Amino acid sequence: MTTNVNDLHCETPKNMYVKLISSDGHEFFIKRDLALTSQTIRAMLSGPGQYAENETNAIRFRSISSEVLARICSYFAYKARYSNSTIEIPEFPIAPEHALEILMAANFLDC
Amino acid sequence: MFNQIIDQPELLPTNQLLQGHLNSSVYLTNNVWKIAFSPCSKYLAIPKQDIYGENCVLIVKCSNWNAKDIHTTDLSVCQRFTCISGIWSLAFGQRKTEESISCQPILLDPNNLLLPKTRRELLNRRRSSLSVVNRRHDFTKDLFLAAGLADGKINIWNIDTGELTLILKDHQSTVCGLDFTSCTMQLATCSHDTTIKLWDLLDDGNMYKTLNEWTHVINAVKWSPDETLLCAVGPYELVILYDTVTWAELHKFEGHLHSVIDCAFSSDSALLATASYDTQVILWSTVTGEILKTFAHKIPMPLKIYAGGDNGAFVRSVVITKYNHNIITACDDNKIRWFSLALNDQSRMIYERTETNVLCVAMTVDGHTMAVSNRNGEVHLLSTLSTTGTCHPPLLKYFCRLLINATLGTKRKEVFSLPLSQHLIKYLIYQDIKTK
Repeated sequence: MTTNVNDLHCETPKNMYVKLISSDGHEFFIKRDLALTSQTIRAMLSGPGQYAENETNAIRFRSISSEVLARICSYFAYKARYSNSTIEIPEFPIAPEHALEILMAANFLDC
Repeated sequence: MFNQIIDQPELLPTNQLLQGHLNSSVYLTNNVWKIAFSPCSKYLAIPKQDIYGENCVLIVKCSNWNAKDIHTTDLSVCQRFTCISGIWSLAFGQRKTEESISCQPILLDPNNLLLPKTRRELLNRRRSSLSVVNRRHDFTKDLFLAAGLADGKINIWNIDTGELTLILKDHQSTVCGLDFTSCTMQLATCSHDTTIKLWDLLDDGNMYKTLNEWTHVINAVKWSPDETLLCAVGPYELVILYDTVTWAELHKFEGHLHSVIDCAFSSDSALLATASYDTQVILWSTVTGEILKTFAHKIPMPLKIYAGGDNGAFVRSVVITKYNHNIITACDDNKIRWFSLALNDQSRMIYERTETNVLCVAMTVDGHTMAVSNRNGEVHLLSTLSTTGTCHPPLLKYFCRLLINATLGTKRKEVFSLPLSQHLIKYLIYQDIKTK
């Protein structure tokens, strides 16, 4: 996951990166296959032309704040790193003050 | 799907070393009723009896039970404690300092800061003015082992120094169950003299409460991981939950048909699993008090007259694995079974393993290893790395649920007033795994 602007443009060849935008305007560029961990994002990006996001590879979440979205992107990386892993999987830390919002966002994103 | 068994739980290479230590001709083949792992997962306590009739507890130390190469492991019997009478129960206890406990910031409302949410906070407040200097024994640092004996005494040994630190004498009869809290060195003991006693080891072993409302033995007591609940189980289908701050009876669970012998809490204290002689393990919600799942060990389920009597399939022991993926049970039909908790709506067994005369199952806190003991005086070590769902990390929703339930503490009924949709509140109280 990276938030650098210099080497990424949404329309990179093969659409390797997607842009997730939080409610307060923070933009998160993450690899497409990491974002597809979420079934909702997968549906948004691959649905047959129903969602505008399909064209621009950017998704705006009006209900998810930037701290919550940042943690969700960390979770995508954590999940990709430790899936099918033979080593011990550490616990994914969540700050208690964000727990409710992350739960609602995780429920919405189905991840 | 993360809860499929990919590899079978295997006997570990270190198991051979352990057998070498245990099978020496000095020891009799006794019934090993209880074994215990330490909170740091490095020590295993096994009660044995030697040929001179002396009862002893062996402490086996190993830094990595799952080591592949038995020549490089450091498995050894590091201590051998002797006692006068038979050992019925064992528990390790170690005080955890505030830094290593995850702090409990306010989830709901800043005004609730004033009320202690967990027993830990209540005790810390009461004890903040007491100093350790005035205490005769220092229980604040080392690892301790408590053993409940047949004559009613409780021996407490310091594992690091090997000395018998304290003997607690108050029970009139066999101490058949005991449990330490995870952080504050409180000890709950239950006995054949029909009482439950609570001891505060940080106050020099002061016994501050006795619960004696019954006329029968209490088989086991367990603290919940967040120390807000105490579960007591016994004959006549007794399963009872106490609030540890007020000592009010929170729930009396009805549903078993025979004596209840063992219980286990999930890591967020929201689930309670109880094992009974009626061939069932029942999973209860500690928030609502209802039955979520029933795990049967004899299929078809025996008729009530057999469930309440001699059926040959008493369930002796139950543990819940790390992250609450699975339940592992030991049953008198010589089998250890794994049941999945995360499979919605189903109470299917996902794996079983034969182990003759199995008595007790214990798991390390880190979730890597389990040990089973039997009536032949043996203890076997099995790897659980492949079965605790460690092939795939849990869902983010899952982590949120564990965290929210663990943080609610004594205010667990307030889950219903959280600003969430009904669907999510049902998810938090584990309605999604309830058998329909």
